[in-house]
Amino acid sequence: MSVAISIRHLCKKYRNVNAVQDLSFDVHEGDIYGFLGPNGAGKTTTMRILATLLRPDSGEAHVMGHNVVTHPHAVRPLIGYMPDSSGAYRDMLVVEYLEFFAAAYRVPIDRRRRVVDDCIELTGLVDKRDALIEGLSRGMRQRLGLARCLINDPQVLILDEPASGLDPRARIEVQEILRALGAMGKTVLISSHILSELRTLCNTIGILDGGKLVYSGSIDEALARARTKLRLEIRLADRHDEAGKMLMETGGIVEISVGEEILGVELPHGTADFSFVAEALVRNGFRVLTIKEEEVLLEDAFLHLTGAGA
Amino acid sequence: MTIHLPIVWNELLRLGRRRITYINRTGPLLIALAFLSFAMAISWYTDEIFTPSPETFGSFMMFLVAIIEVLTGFSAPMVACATLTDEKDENTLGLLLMADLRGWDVVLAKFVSVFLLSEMLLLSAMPFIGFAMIFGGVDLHTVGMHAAMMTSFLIMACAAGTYFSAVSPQSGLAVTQTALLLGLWFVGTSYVDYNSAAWGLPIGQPALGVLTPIWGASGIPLAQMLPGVFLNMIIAAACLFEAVRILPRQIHARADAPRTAKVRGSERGRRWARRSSEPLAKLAASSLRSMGFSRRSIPMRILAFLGLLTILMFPVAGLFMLWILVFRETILALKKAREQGALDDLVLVPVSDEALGVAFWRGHTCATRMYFAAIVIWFAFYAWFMQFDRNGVRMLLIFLPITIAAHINVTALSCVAGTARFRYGMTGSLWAYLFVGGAVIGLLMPLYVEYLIGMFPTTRNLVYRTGAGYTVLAIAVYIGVNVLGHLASALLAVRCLGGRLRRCAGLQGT
Repeated sequence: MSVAISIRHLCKKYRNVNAVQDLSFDVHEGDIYGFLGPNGAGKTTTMRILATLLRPDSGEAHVMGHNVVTHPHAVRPLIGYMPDSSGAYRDMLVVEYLEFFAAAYRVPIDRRRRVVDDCIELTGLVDKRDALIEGLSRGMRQRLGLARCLINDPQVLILDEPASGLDPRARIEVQEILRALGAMGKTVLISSHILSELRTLCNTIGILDGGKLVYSGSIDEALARARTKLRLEIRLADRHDEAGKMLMETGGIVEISVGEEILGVELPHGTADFSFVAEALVRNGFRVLTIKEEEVLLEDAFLHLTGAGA
Repeated sequence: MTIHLPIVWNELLRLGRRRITYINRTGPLLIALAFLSFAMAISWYTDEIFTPSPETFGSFMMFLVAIIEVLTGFSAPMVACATLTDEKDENTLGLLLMADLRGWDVVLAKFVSVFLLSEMLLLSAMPFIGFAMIFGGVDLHTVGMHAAMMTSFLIMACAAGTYFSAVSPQSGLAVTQTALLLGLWFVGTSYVDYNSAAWGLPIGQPALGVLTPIWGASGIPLAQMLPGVFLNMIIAAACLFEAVRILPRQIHARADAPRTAKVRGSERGRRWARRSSEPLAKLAASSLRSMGFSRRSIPMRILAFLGLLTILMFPVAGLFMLWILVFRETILALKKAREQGALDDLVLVPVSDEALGVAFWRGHTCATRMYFAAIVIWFAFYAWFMQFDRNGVRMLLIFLPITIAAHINVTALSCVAGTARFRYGMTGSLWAYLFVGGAVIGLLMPLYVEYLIGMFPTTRNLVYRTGAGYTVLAIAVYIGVNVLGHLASALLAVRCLGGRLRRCAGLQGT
């Protein structure tokens, strides 16, 4: 798979603030790459550099093989950029706005209407086609921003917090659109604060902290790194206290926490086989309802990798 | 270098949906008609058997055309000032340049759209030109010269507006800068005698009390107009080239701006801004910063200084410019405060409506205080200038109360009007424009009446019979009405402002 976005030793400084420091990573074609990081980590700066709207102080960034600094005009037709505060002409109709940008991207006039219609349909704006942009809800404006991004049929989409400020339903709808775009083979670089949505959407993530990349790779690997201990959640029919005491005497267990319905059991890091716990419980006559390995969330991975969870 | 027609179309479409466009279209015509009605009424009153000669009629019609042109000449570049700053405000400039468009595509298309609009605005002058040609004996040559000069001026003015729109972070600042440049042009070309008969005299002569009946471009030789037209084209080309050069940088600069913005020591250190008990201190400080005067570059400072100095030397134009600058600042500060949510914070402050109103007014007076000095300088210049004029003392007497009162009134009135409609900053502008339009007409009207009196023998006889009674009475009434009106509106504004602010926010007054 060839590289769609390549960043090498990218640096950007605002006066005394290092927004981005020695950033290097690749995004492959067809990837949906999630860009994570706390506020001020440098996500937007990186995205704006990729979108040719900001010049880096040093380093290189390439989109589909074109340098964003030296060949911005070659990069621009290849990308669709949606800023965090997506701009729109408030006194235009949805269809007029999209037709205008289609014209700005030099979409031939005979194809223009069809392209606009396709984008409107893909982003679910059919009902709002002739609505004034000023009257659109935030969710609809985000969709409009997405539609504008797609107007030139870009190979790479750079989306800065596309779901921020949306209600859960609108967020799910935007996710579905992004999944559809991923299925169409577009490369998507997306930043978000809502980590759970990236978990289901992205196949690769990059985590920025203080302008530095602290992780870039698959989500599973990030989760594995965050897994520093194995914790089991055991539900018994009764006698949680007794079961806790019994297990502590069994050995091979780091810590036990007893709740009203759940018995929490922490095993040493690296334990792969925890069947001995179930065996011990059954052998001592406890009625086991469920044993579940506690899931490591992307939030945990994020906190672990950025050092905030320490 | 191409004119990207979709941008032109888009710009005209959007302008067509804005209220300000309708105001710009109808305002100058209404003012001209009001002028015409008033002049006719006065003529009828002073001399019932008034039958003007064709020459006088044509001259008067061309004067009305000049009024429309002057107002269009100011309003068109103001629209141009918003073209690119609006793109910056709406975060669409980056999106536009990310499309397959170059700087020239954007700048030229914006310029062309505003120029087309300004030409459309001038259509309201057509009936007067028609009357002047049919009944007033004004020939095609005069009209052609007039049109050529006006077009060249509009090209220059729209290009200047587009340039400052490209340079400035906000449209208000662009308007101020453009107004200064146009003021410089206005006075400069008048002093060196380019275009002066067409531009300077219709406004300047009545104000100066000189009774030479030259309106419009009649009587100006082509050789005298060509340097002016050439100068306009040079300025326009320079503005457009510079706008194209600077536009891409603006995107990068804008991206950097939020991170690199700094509050200057001089702004932070204002005593009124540090007082925590002052409910408006934060808003006023914010307004001052948002106006961006502190970020003005050195060339802009020089331009502003020269512009102010020069326009101040030109009596009526100087006053007019000051008005524009002052109320633009006020409206801008209001708009910014509204957008930033500062007004919402203010109305929740536990002080009385009156205190809130006074604080609000004070804050905006602070925001426009830099013009107080300018008014004094203007007055000093004018006093010095008028000593050489036979009407100097009389003119001073007229201008003195108007000058002081105008500032108070415009600020207060704009505050009330602007805050009365939370969502639309242009409502404040409309009120202020209407006020200034009315004030200018009111200012010129007694003088024009005098001009009419001087022109017609029967009227002159009437004045001779009554001595200078009419003139003195007219001026006295004029000054009285102005001063009382200004003071009343200022008091009303302060009284109502706090309550109005709160009612707009859905709160009960205290």
